[in-house]
Amino acid sequence: MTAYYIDAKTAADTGKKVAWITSSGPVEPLIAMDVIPVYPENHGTMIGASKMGVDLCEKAEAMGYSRDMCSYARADIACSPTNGGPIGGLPRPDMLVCCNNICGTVLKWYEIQARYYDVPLFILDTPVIHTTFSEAARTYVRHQVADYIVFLETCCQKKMDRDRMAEVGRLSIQEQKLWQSVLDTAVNRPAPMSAFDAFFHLALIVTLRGTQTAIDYYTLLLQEMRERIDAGIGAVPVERWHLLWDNLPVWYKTKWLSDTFASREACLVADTYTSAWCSSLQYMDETDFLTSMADGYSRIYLNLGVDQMADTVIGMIDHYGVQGLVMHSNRSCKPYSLGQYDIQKIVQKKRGIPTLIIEADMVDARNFSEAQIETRIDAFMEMLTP
Amino acid sequence: MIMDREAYSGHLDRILNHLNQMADSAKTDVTHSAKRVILSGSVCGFSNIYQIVESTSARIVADDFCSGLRYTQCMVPIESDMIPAIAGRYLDRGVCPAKHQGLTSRSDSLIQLAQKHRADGVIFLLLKFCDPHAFDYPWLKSQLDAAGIPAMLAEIEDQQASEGQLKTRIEAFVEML
Repeated sequence: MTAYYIDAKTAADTGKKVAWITSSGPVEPLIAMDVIPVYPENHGTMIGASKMGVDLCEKAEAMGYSRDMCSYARADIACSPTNGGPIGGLPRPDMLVCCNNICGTVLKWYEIQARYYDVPLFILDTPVIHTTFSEAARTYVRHQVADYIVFLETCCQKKMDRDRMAEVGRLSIQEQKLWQSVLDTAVNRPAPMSAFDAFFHLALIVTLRGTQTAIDYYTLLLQEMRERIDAGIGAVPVERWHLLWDNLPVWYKTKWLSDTFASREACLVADTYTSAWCSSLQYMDETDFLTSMADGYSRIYLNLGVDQMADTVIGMIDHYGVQGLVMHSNRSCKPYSLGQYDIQKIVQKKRGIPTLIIEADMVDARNFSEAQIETRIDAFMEMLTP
Repeated sequence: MIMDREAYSGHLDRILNHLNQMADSAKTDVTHSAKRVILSGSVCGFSNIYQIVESTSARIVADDFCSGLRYTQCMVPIESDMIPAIAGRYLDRGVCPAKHQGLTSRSDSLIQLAQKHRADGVIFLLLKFCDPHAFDYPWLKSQLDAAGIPAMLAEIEDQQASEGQLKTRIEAFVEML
């Protein structure tokens, strides 16, 4: 990751182009075109984890942005004019690629950055799949994928190498399968890893998808997890309860949350967040990656209707054999948090397991009340039954 | 938006006559010295805002609300095939800021609106938690500043409680114009 960021930060010297792209955006064509992808959301994660979120959010508020808005967006927007944050700001983009399969916020955020940096903006609009992915929607997204390639060829002033694109697509699918296998190791008892580990190891499937580096990393990680399974090494010292996490992590409190659950003999064995980077694997076609991108990038967890999201959650409850569901109601991420109370009711009705809703924010620590959350976790733990 | 079209059409005729009469008498009225303001923002279900603003020395000369000007903007050409014509209108009108229509279209159209109506200032009324508008606001404000048009922002709840406080802020803003 360090090498990747050094590469990105020195792109101006090495003559490489830099594209800023949304976290679940179509990155493979960028890799195929030798463009360095940079993720403002990953930047938001680093800001949150290094506890610089409040300061940067306050700077954005001083610029006129409301405190109610996404803290990733606020923190990143504030970094641009100040070169703030843990790595002194992101490298200047040559182009911006925005896919709204995760939220509408990224559209406004990227419009702001396109004006600030005065660079071309490509928007891949993926209609929300309330029930089914219609043929009209599929055609609409496929046309945009074709436009996207033209956009990249124009920005880079070179043709796309289709063989290289196919190879990157194959690597990407292989990585998503590896990532799924890594996450799946948590069905073992004891679970060799927890969601808190997944939050960490996620970095490469987000930022280096479609590269050999990510393949090597996840191959090694999978091997390590298998060794832990064989040796009976668990992620938490005493593992009595198995729980599922929903929504983004609370980046500035991951250690505290991890310790709090571990000390109550609970392991968060899976989460809906990190699994989203392989959630549409079934729709990806290794032999025709570009065409399958329309389905692959539209049919991800956050772009589905609440009923399908609930089905996914229930599928994970069964697959990982959890006894409780912990939902982070994230003030920043409205599309992730909006349907949670409905999903909670559906889960309670269909599986009858206890659920906990923690109100917090992924980066803005002003929205985290430690004592209150600890009390709620304790009350929740008392409700769990083997 | 919700009235029977026939009934609504009749009301519109009467309102138009009334407004024309008002416009005629306004030519000799002293209120032409009033400050001319534009209201801009999201859906506005807070109808008292018109009385609140006009209880000061300001007059509302135009609006740029989702539920105002932008709702009625652009005509559907009735001589053409209706479905494509209706779809075409949705693309041509000033879109909801949740959708993309160029990087400067909103600021350009707001400044044009202000210039066309010789506005002295703009009052933004943003419904709390309507993110697309909140994201656009700093840019719109900076462009209005550059064009020499003062602006103020009020975040409003769907059920507005503190009318007195809002009135005080608007009075102060109008005095400044």
